Amino acid sequence: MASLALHQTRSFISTLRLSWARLPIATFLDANLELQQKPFRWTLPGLQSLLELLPPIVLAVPKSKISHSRKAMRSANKGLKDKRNIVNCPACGEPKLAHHACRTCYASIVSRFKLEAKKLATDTKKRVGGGSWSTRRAPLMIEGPKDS
Amino acid sequence: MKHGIAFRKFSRTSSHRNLMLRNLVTSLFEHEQIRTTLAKAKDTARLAEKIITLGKKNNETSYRHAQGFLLKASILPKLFTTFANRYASRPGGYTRIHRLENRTGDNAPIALLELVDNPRDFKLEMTARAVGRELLNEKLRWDSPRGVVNSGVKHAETVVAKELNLGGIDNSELRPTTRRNLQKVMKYRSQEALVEIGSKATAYVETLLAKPIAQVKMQLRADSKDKEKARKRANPNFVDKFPVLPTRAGAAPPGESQSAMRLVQGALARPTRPPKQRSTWRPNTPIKQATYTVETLR
Repeated sequence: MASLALHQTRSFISTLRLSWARLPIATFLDANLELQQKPFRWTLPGLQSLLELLPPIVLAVPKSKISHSRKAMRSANKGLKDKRNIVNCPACGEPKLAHHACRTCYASIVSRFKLEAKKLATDTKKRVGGGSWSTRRAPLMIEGPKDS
Repeated sequence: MKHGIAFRKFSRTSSHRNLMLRNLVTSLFEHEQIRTTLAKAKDTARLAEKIITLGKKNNETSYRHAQGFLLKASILPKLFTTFANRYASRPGGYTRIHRLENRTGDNAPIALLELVDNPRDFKLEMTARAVGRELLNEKLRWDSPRGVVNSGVKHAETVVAKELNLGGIDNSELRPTTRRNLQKVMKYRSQEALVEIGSKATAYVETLLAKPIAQVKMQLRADSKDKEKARKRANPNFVDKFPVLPTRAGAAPPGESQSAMRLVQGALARPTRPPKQRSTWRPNTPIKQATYTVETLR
């Protein structure tokens, strides 16, 4: 298509040249035309833009606005699917996904273990430090009087 | 195509991937229970079990091999003493993966990877709780809710000891799945674990019995606070009575026999036929079962 357009423009220019050649002022006009055709141009003559080189199928465009009903018909199958793998936790009875651990049970178990670990840590620290009623005190930071 | 290729790449270079897995295995041995993505857990489990096998071998060579793999030297003695003794009679399968809920940020499937028979064994906890709940359900079949609160459930230890020797089709107080889990958990453990399970089950029954009453009390306390606030503000549009612990749809109270899907659908479910004698392991089920709620307690 583009080559055809190019060919057409070239042939158009040649016919123009021929028609002008028949006129009496053809001689020096001819020279002018030669000069005009000589300089090199990046854009090919006769083309509005380089987009015309692309075949028209690439420049596809919707013909009209898709109606609300047609749009809705297309998205009929795009809805979210229900989850059917919901079971009751055998421990707490809350709903949970099948083959998964119950989230409430997991949270309660983990929090209880953390509480126990924390309690154990504070208890051992107390025990190591001698307990709440220990008479052991940290050594004073102030120096005693030096023997002179 | 990826036919027959057993290894995951994790979108990392080989050096990064290997170091990540070594880190995960080291963390697993240190904490005995870690939470990570499901794919990472599966690969870590595979490697961790191989390292535990090295620990069981107890050689000079196996020691050097494990030393080269693990990233913390303080874990090596634990591997060669604690784990070797714990898994002495167990032929493989030293790890367990529990699927947790997907992560909120990126919907990644998360898993809990733990060493079997560790002090915080998750499966043991859940089995003990399940045993407790099922014994309570069994009691509620024959006794009123008030009667169950007064008498309690105290025979958990004896039931657990009895269930260890039953098969899959035998009728008894526990569901076949719970029985199977109990047997699996007890397979390489001593009798002390049995006592532990029994005591945990009994304690959990107490929690279940107290739960609806505690919820009502919490709600009343919250309501009274809100009413005080409303009086202080003297705002006519103030909305009180928000549920403190909103009950999730499909939550089954103790004694409930309907399935979760049926409960979740609620009034929109298809009307069910009258319950038939479908399950062979629960003979003589009474048609109307009392569930344990605040209303049934009154």
